[in-house]
Amino acid sequence: MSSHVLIHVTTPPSPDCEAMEYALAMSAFDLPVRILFSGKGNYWLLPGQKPRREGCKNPEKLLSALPVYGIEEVAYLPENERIISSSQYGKATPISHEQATDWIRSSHHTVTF
Amino acid sequence: MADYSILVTSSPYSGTQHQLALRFAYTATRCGHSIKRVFLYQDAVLAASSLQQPPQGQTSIANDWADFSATCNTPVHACIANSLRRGVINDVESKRYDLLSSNLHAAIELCGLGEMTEALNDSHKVIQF
Repeated sequence: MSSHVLIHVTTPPSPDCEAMEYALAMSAFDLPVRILFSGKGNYWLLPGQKPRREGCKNPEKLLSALPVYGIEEVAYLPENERIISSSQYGKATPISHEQATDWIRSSHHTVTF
Repeated sequence: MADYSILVTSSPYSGTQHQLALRFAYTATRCGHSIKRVFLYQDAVLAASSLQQPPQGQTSIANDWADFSATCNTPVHACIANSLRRGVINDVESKRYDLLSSNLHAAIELCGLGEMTEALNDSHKVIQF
């Protein structure tokens, strides 16, 4: 089993994007982080998003910061065609349910938001 | 015997996740396992307010976590950023932001995500509720 922490995002962006804050913090403290989007979590991948409230973080900009924090493994389960067809977030790769299961099995910890 | 950390992300006012987490924590401790720490994140930090007044006959979830912390000698931490957003404030932050008062339960500490990182490093498993 690897020392990876898997952040499984199943909910759309909230005003304060606390799921992604958590992922970035784990990586900032040198834990290897993978992110898997599925279900309504795939809404994170929609292009052209704005902050949910004035002064809050922009989900799209947070995603674009992932490589800066060393988070390179980002994937999604392609369950919603409308989201996926309009997604321009090229760094997230589609994976199958079997691959997602492998990610969960091979991660030391899985945290779900 | 295993070392566990507990991550609670659910609101104490919807569902029974805090009660399940407490039951798991007490049972694991009774079976000889160690709970390294409890970390409250997102809406779970609402459980850290000392200003809860449950209806007669019910206990406050803050007091339940405080009892667990004292009984099992386990720290209970609330994410500082999530707590400040939701109005759960300790004396230091109250002074820093010039707020009228503070309400953090005395048995619970405000901490950054570094504490959670340590929990991930120190524990065999993190159990999320």
